[in-house]
Amino acid sequence: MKLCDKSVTELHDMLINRKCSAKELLTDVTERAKSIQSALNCYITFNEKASEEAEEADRRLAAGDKVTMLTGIPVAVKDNISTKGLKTTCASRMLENYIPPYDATVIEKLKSAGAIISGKTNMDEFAMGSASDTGIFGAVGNPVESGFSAGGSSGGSAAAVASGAAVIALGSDTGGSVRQPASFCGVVGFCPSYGAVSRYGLIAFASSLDRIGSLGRNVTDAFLLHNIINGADSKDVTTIRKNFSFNPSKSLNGVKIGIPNEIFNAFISEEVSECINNSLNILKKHGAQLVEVSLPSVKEAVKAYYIISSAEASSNLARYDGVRYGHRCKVSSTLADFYKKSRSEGFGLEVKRRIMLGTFVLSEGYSDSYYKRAVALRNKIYQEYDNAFQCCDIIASPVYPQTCISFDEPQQFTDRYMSDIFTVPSNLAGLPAISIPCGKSRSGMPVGMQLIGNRFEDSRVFETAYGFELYGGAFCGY
Amino acid sequence: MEINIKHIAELAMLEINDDEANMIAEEMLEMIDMVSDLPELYDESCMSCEMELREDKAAVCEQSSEDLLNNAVETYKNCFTVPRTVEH
Repeated sequence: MKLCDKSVTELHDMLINRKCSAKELLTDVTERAKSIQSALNCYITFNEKASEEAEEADRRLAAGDKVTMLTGIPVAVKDNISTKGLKTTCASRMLENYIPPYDATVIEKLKSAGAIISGKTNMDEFAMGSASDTGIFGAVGNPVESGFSAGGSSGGSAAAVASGAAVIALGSDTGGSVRQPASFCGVVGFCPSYGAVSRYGLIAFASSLDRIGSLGRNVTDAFLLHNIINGADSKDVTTIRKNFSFNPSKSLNGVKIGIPNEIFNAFISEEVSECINNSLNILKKHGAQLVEVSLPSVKEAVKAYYIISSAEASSNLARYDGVRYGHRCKVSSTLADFYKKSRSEGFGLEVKRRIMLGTFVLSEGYSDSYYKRAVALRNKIYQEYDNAFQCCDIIASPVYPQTCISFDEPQQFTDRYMSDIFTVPSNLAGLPAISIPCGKSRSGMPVGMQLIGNRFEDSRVFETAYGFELYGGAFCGY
Repeated sequence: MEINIKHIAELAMLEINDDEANMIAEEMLEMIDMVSDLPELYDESCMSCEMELREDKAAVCEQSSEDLLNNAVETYKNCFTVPRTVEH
């Protein structure tokens, strides 16, 4: 097994005991990343300064300085997270040449911990999409079969981790964009409680829904990454002061797993259904109790999600006017014409669709019928989850109705929106959720199972996922 | 339902020509059809989100003017430039 395929725990042990150097590890990861770049297109930018960072990590290790589990470990970063001096494009022409003058809080934390930023990963433009195919740098292929999508919008991060082009990676999750690609690529993808991880430096899509999530080839790796990046931040007032522990010795015995009727009665493909049911049986066999719960409004959640996220996106993306940064049109007549041309040339089709929808649902005469009712529905969903968690500890569900998205089979965009049915409800309610590999389709495409916890019960989500991983869920490699 | 696409585009500061307007109008109707039929609910209260607000004091900017001007396509004497807005 090459260095780039090992876990964080194994690599940390090797680095501490000088069985390998951070430089050797980075070289291995970079070689793997570049060898698969043309097939999978995981990266937008490789970090040319990573080598210096690895040398510094080696110096710290050799000097016996205080180090963390992530010292010397290459981490890939989704390209909507600001990295000082390193292009951050959101896979958009609007920010094609944008170089942030500051690091996101999560990046500052990673650098303090001695992690190495290997590069910026490919994604859907401004994180709007489910197949990492709306960005200007091309689509991200699935490591199992490159004719299928790696999922989105954090497809580059998920594919990089799955293929050894990164050891661990950061993604962002607004409606499932960490969990769904994790499911498609057969890795673990964790979306934290809203407020657990600072959004300072995350280029905003929908501010009440966005989270920065962690991806790894196993639950422990995902936790180790989350453990470094989480915490209160004065630059993000929505963050909370809470430390999250992880006790891998906790068993599944007595854990109540909620099975929402409405989710399991929705359309789920036979192959996904088979994998999820097998996984529930494994959980039950090892001491968990399966409990029926009800989330009556969950099927309507997608509607509320697309109204609220588009409304917030239309506001957040209003900052892109071509003046201070971003794409600027070459010819215009008036200031308004300058704004319109710069924005229309800079944004892709999917982004424009969502800005238009968001503008419409907030416009005079329509905001009562659409936006306010969507907010009310969101509140109801939040209450329903709260009620469900009175009788269970964790809620289980599929991540996506199908096993994969094929690039050869064009899909109606509204059908693709509706397929977010299993991931968006927990985003609306601010809940932590994880996708963990739980099987494969007959053609070998990975399938993930989703475990959702109550707000700020991130530890319990990790512990339950770890328990399942011991008995049934595991990254199998390719 | 009829949507005034040009008006929405104007509000969104996006430029669309007549051909695009037809296509976008169709897509908008599909999206609105998808999200319509929401339950009749009117609870607008916000979900609880405790926030520790910072003091109302101007913070020292960690970035220099040069840092902040670096991403602009065009600058002039330490200023961002925009098309002329004042008639003379």
